[in-house]
Amino acid sequence: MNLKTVLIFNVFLTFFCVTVSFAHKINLFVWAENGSITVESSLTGGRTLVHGTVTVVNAETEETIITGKNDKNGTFSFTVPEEILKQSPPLDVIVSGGDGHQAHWIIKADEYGGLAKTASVLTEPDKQPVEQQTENDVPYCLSKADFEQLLDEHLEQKLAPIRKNIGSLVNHSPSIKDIGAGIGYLIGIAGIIAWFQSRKGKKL
Amino acid sequence: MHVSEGVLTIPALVGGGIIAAAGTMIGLKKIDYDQVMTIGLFSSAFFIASFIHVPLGPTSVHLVLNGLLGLILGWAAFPAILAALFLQAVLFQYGGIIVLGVNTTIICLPAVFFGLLLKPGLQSNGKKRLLVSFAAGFLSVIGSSLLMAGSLILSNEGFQTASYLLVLWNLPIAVLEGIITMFTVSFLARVQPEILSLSLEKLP
Repeated sequence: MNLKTVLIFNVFLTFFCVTVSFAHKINLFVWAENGSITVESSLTGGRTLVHGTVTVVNAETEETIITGKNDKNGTFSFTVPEEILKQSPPLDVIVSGGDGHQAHWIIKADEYGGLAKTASVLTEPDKQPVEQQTENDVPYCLSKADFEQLLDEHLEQKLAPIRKNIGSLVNHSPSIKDIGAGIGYLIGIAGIIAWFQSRKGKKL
Repeated sequence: MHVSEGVLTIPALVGGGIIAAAGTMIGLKKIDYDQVMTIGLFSSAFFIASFIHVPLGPTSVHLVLNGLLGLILGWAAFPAILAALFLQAVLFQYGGIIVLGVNTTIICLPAVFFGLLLKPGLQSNGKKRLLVSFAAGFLSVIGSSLLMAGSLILSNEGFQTASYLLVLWNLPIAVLEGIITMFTVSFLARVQPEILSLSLEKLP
């Protein structure tokens, strides 16, 4: 009978929590695009992490490269310094909420390594802007660098929604199935212990 | 209340681990066969409560229910909360395995302390019982916040301001926890008084 009462209490809490919200953890998603690395962080349940502290560390030497704060949208963007681009170490992006919550994301050199090339292409002064070329000229006059730039921009547009989807998959919130599984484990463990103890008929 | 991995220093981790191990050993010794399923169910109640999260300023806080567990289970709150935190770390990456001991200590120590201290007050009727229940819920959360803030300051002085804010942020949750503990104890006292006196008989 007492177990029934507590069980009812649990069921109440389960439905309450599923309809209200989720617990507390920093979700992090990092990607490189258009010559910069963007860090997007949020709390579980989708709430943006405003003013979270972002620290970028060289994962090989543990030297701090960049520190900064999230903006009101929970994002922080930075350009990788030339020196780091030459060394191409993996970067450890750490986001701290300041209240004991922290998340890490390792971004490897091959993920941001193309930034040097892209950045140099974007800053070449003697290149004709792509927008100024006529449609007929495009197949004949585009240099390799212009073509790569155009392709990069187009790919970024196409990949943006896919990246968002990947981010939500990486940082998926617990579902009612996950929560149910956790409860099942706890009740199951208690049940197994009770069963063993009933066979032994003695105290733990 | 879930400190993430990589935030605390080794002394804080070791200290928290030792206290959690000692508390769990005492708790396991005090568990009686009749209590096992009740502990499992309250453990799952704690597991679910962590998913109820309240947005607060730039961050968010979540329900803990540690005061309720400390009041009803006494020392047995240690293994009950340890099991739930372990599953949260494994299933949802809340907290982590390395910080499991510290998180268990932060949540359990004040709960067990105030639970044992205030438990005799449950024998009285009416307003005194309500007040005792509220105090157990409220003080346990405040105690946990202080322990968490202390462990953060001990690990990194840079956390000092954030740690003070952490205690302030948890004040509304402490009040909410007090109210929930009060109503839950009141409900259990009416429908199932044995569950409140059950562990009382086993206490020294």
